[in-house]
Amino acid sequence: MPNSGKVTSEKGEPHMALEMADDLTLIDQCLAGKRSAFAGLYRRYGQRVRSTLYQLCGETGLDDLVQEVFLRAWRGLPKFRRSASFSTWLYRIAWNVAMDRRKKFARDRQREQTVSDPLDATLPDPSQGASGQWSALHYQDVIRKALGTLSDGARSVIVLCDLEDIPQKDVAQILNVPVGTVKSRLFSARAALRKELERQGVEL
Amino acid sequence: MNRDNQNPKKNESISNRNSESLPFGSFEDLPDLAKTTHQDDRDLVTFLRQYRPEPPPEPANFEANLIRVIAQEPTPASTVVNNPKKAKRWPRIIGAIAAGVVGAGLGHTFGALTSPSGMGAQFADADSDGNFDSNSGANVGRETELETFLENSWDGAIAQTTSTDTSDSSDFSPFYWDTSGM
Repeated sequence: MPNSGKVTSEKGEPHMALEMADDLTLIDQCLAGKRSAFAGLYRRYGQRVRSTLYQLCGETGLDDLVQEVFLRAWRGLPKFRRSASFSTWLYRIAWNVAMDRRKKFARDRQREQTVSDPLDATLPDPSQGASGQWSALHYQDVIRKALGTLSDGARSVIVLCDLEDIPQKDVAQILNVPVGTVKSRLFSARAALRKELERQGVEL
Repeated sequence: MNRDNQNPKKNESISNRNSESLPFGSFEDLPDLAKTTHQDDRDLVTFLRQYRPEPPPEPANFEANLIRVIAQEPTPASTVVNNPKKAKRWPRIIGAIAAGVVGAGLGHTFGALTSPSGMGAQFADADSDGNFDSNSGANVGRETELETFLENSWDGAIAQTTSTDTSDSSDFSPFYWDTSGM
C-alpha cells in the first residue's frame, strides 16, 4: 500500500533526472509504482493543462480541475496506448474534464453568471486613458468574454489550435473527430470569434 | 493529378488567352481570397496569442498536494490488463459461438418442419387458415406416393406373414403367389 513516507523519500531525488527522461520512460516508472516519476510528468505538462482548462472553463475551481485531470491520468496510465503521444492523451483527459465541468455549469447556468460577473466589472476600459498594462488586461478580458460566447465545440478548437498551438491532427485525436472536421470547425469558430471581437470594439 | 499543372507552356497559353478578356489583366492579378482569409486568420491568431488570458498561478503547495493524493491511489500497475484487445475479444468469440449454435438449432428445427418427409409435411400445404389445398399438384403427387407406399408396405407385411405361417392356408390367401415354379 502506498504511504506518504515513501513519497517524501522519493521527493529527495534530483529533479534533473526526471526532466531528462522522456515521457515513455516516466510512464514505465509510474507503472512500476514510482510516484516521483509522475511528478516529473506533472512538471512537464501541468502548466499547459492548467492553461487549457482555464481557457475552457475559467478560473472557478481551476485547481480542482487540474487535480482531477492528473488523477484520471494516473488511474488511466495502464490504458494509455502508446500509438498517440502522452501529451495528446493528457489533453484529451483535460478536454473531457473540462466538458464535464461545462455540462455541470450548463445545468446551473444562473450560478455561473453570478460567479463570472464580478470579475467582468473589475477590468477598466483602455480607452479611458489606461496604461499599456491595463490595456492588455482589458483585451484579455475581451478575449475571455468572446470565448464565452462560443459553443463548446468552437471554443475547444480555438483554445487548442490557436491559443495552445496544438497541431490540427493532434486536436483531431483529442476531440476524436476527423482533421477535416477540425478545419471546418476552426473556420467557423474564427469567423464567430472575429465577429464578437469586432462587436466589442476590437479592430483586427 | 492535374496534368495541366505539369505543362508550363500550356498554362502560360491559358493565362495569356484569358488575360486578354479579363479586365484586371491576368490570373495573377485576381484578388486572392484564400490569402485574404489566411491573413485575417493570422491577424486574429496573433491577437489571441498576444492577449491570451493567463491562468492564475498555481498555489505553492499544489504539486505536493497532488502527489499526496496520488499516494493514496493504488499503483497503476496493479490494475493493468495484460492485453486489452484480447480481453475484449473473448466475449465476442463466445457470443459468435453461441449465436452459431442457436442458428444451427433453429435451422435444423425449421428444416424439419418444412421438409416433405418431416413432421411438418402435413402442414406444408396448409394455407393461412390451416386448410389444405387438395387441388395443388404437389399435394396430389404426395398422396399418390403415400398410397403407393402404403400398398407396398401392406403387400410386404402380408407376404411376410404368409411365408412364415406354418399352416397350409396359402391356397386361400388372395395375396399369396406361388413363385416356386417360376
